[in-house]
Amino acid sequence: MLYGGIDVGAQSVKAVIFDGKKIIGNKSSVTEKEANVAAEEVFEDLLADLQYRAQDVDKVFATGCGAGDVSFADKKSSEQICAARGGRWLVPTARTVVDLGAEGCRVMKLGPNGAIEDFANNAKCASGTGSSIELGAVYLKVPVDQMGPLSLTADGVAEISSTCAVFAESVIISHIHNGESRERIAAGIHRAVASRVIELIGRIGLVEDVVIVGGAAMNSGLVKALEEMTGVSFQLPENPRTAIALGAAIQASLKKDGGRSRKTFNR
Amino acid sequence: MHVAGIDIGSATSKAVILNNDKVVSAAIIETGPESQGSAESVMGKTLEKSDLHLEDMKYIIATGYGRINVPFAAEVVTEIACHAKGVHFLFPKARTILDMGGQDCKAIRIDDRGNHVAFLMNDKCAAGTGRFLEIMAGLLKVPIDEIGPLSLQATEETKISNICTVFAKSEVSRHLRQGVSKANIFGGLHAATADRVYSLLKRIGIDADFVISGGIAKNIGVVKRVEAKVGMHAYISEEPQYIGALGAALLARVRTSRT
Repeated sequence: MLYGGIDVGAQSVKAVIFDGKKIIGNKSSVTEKEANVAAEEVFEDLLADLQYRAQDVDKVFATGCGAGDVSFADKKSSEQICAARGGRWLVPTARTVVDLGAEGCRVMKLGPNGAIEDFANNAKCASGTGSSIELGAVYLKVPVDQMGPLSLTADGVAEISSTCAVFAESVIISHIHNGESRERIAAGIHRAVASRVIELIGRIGLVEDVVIVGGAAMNSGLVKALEEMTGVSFQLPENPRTAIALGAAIQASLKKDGGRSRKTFNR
Repeated sequence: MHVAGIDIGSATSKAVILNNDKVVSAAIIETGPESQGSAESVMGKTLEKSDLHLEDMKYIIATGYGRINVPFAAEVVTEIACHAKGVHFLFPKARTILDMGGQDCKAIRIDDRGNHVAFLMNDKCAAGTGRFLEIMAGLLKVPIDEIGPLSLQATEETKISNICTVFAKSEVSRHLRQGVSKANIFGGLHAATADRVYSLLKRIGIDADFVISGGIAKNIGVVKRVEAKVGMHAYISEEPQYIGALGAALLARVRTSRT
């Protein structure tokens, strides 16, 4: 049996095919297209890579902020549940799952058996999400995926406010004018985001092991800031970006309901 | 006898020189990356306009976000106290002030002598501040002084569901791609701003007369919508951006009359 998971995020769409025991394949794509079109494209590309047809997949679950638009999905599953499932599957000892995306951050506390005991969410404010690192990268004139490596070479930290990503921009500009190094500014940006994430974790309480998933987990500077500020090590799985889509596929494999209707995706 | 007030805001720096009760000179510049340089240049400009020198100033009070970086000021006073004094001087019957600046928004209640009795402020989030509308004006490529009038031409105010400026930007881009008119989008953005500041005002309580100060007081789109929500006419001075500096100068005058 094959199960699909689709995660339609604010900036990218992720898809995973899972057979109940292992990940068969995954794919992600940054897109500005409508959620349904983008989801279909990524899913079809992934199936083509794996040389499967749509009808080979028994069930597809969708998650993410655009989950409702994925017409070929059999069911929707919440981002909390999918991130928790995916994070726990990737790191079976995880008791805290941090999901850091482009426009949201959520943290889940898991019980010993993996069930969600508590969670906290930030989906209303860019500060504390990947998007504020992107804004900073624009001013530092570096591609966003270079922000992590850049900050790791810093000899210190330029203080940046964590309250508002927009106000942080003016602080970043002042730092640049005052001759602060880009490395230190990048480190400051990561600290500002990390402090907001830690504030969220603080609401539910941190229990080890901690696993970090979502696109922003790939930022080594941010993970380092989180580890330094909490004194705890954050486990980074392979392909953290597609972990939430994996969680959706796992959900599809576990749920007995929501069998494929095959109404819209078969073409 | 001359005194001066200087207000280093996040977006603009203002200075006012008073001779007794009369404003003899005032100037405004954009705040640069460095507060001290901005303070020196706005003060220099104000002095130049009136043929006065820094030595002629009996007392100088600095206020605003960069107030501690004004080396020639004898004293620093909070924006709240300065706005209260400035508004009271211009509108003696004012009891509620909404001061909307570049990076913050304040609701201030004052008594019949111009002392502030309560205030609430948002300086933590760009929503409901000038920065929000400034960013949107840049995004939609409309000059900042035209967005207010444009917003009043909205046939329908586009609902903006994100509070966060960063997220609202993506939302606005989406509306634009879907062909929504700029007037309708600005209608929605101004309504969202009015909602935010009204919630501050409501928490502090609103008494007549009601005054709006700060840069956004020049935006008719925000003013009209706030007036509609408050249900009261808003008194606005001809130069709403100078009220903090004026209040600082008035307080400077009080200091000199005591010594």
